[in-house]
Amino acid sequence: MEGFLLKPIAPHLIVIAAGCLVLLMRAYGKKTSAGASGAVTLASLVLALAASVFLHGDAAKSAFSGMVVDDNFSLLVTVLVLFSGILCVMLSFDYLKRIGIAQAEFYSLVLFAVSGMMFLGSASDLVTVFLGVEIMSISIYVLVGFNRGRMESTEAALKYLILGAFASGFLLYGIAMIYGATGTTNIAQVAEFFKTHGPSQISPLFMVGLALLVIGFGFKIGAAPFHMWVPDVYQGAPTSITAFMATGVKAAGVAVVVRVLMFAFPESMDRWVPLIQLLAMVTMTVGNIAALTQKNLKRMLAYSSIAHAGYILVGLAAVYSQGFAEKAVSAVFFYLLAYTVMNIGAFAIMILLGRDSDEYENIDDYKGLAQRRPWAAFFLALFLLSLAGIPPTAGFAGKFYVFTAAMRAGFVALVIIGVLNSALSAYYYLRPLIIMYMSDPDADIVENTERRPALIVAIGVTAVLTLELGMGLLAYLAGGGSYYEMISGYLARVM
Amino acid sequence: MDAYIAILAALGFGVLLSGGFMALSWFVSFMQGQNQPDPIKYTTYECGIPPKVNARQRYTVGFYLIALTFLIFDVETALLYPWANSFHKLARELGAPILWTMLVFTALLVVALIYMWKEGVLDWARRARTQGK
Repeated sequence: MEGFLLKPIAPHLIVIAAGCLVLLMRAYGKKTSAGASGAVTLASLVLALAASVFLHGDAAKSAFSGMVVDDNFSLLVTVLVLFSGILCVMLSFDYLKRIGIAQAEFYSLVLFAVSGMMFLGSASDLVTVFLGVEIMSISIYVLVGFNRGRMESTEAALKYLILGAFASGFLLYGIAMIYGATGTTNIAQVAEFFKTHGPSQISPLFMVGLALLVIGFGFKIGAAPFHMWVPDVYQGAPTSITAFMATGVKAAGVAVVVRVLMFAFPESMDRWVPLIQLLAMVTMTVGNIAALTQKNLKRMLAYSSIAHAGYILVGLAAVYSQGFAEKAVSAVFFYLLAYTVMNIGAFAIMILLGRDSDEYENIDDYKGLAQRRPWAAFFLALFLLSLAGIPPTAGFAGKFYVFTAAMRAGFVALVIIGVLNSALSAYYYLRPLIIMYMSDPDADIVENTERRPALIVAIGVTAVLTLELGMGLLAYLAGGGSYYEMISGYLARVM
Repeated sequence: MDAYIAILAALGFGVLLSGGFMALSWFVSFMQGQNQPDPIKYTTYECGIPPKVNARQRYTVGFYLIALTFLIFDVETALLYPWANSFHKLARELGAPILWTMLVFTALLVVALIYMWKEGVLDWARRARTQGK
């Protein structure tokens, strides 16, 4: 009976049940408004968040014969993806109505995607990892193409579907190789295998499997050179889904990379850390250089999301420092949280200003925004400064922790490349600022002035958190408690 | 590793043999044959019958929906059958949960079926009548 305890997956079940409920509400009540489904979605996500926090025990509990586990690591991932999901739903309410795709199925797909991400966080078997990746990806493929009247949206969905299916193939093949090399797919048992058999068991078969896994995951988090799909898909997808993909999907992807690499293959760290280092360098550089010339804000944020995946990988490589692995992983988590907050904030401002079918994507549309909409301009400036990593914002604190962890691991070259890249990125983040504050508005630009409370709340929450997380750095430097310390306190118990 | 050498050798022999036949026939036709281009030679070969229309045509999206529906319930059967076959053994070892895990799985599929039904995926005769005009 022990193997079938439901408590560890109670939050997942809440989300899945809500997904089914939203579908049935739509099937039986054709007149049910999309707003009602949105409200159910939001309520269930908040309920799942509460359940994941309150049902969480201190001791790690595994269920379903070791397929899923509820530990502090999974709690952090669950909270992160639910937070991202909640913000995405808040961004979607009016946006969907405005562009004419307000349908219940949208919310039900968001719920299923979130459940997949939660399973990624609590996976303790490579088979569960694959299932989570598929549940998440298939829902996101459909969501990307949800605006089917728009050619770009459909194209993006098709591109993402084909490349994503291909990447899933890599992932599955890698899992098969690992199974061949170790005789098990359970993450704890794989680690046990190398612990008992020693490093001499690291066979070519295992190395090929590891490389295939890294390729598959690299695709899901949009790391160069597996990033080709990112700009087109992020630009084509509905804006609230772009925000969700850049934060939720990326957080779940990074979490599963950490889970697999750190928990299953700690013994072969000296093999995969150089790989991650190389990926980090290429990803940061490619993302930042490509973002320099973008004239479309959505596309620029897509390239910036590639660059941020690079910074996150720097933190992942930093687990190499002996005895400080959990510090490095907490830096990764802090960075994910900071990136979620500031990135969703930036997309929320885009949605706030957009009008009818005009997405307000061109950087030139923001001319003189400070004169017309001083508050919107101020918040967008805050989020962009945070993305650029300027103190006292969350982006700066995140980079500080990640680069500190990398220094501790002795990766000086990696840190230098990272800092140079941050300097480079300031150029393209500051350009919209200059356009907003220093040029006069075009007479023919009119933006949306409706009142949208959900959106305003989302912007408020993200703005406060951007500052709050950034200020936490001061407390950390002064030796007091900060969010970063809190995260590493949680992780110290599982790593 | 030694066990695989034989397979590798067989593979190599197969490749050489088939490649050799291919090269031989190509060489003989190159030496002996004459080149006589003819437009009929370039048409699609369809069991010897002249092709009537282009092969690339648009299908109604109903076909894809039926295919998807079939796939879902086909996979369900593929899962249910081994489960039913080993039910007694599993039930002795794991108890009641082995029954209700499958019930949950089936219930999820029923939700999908209800949704499809209500959305009119299964009524394509009526749809063809109303849209075909």
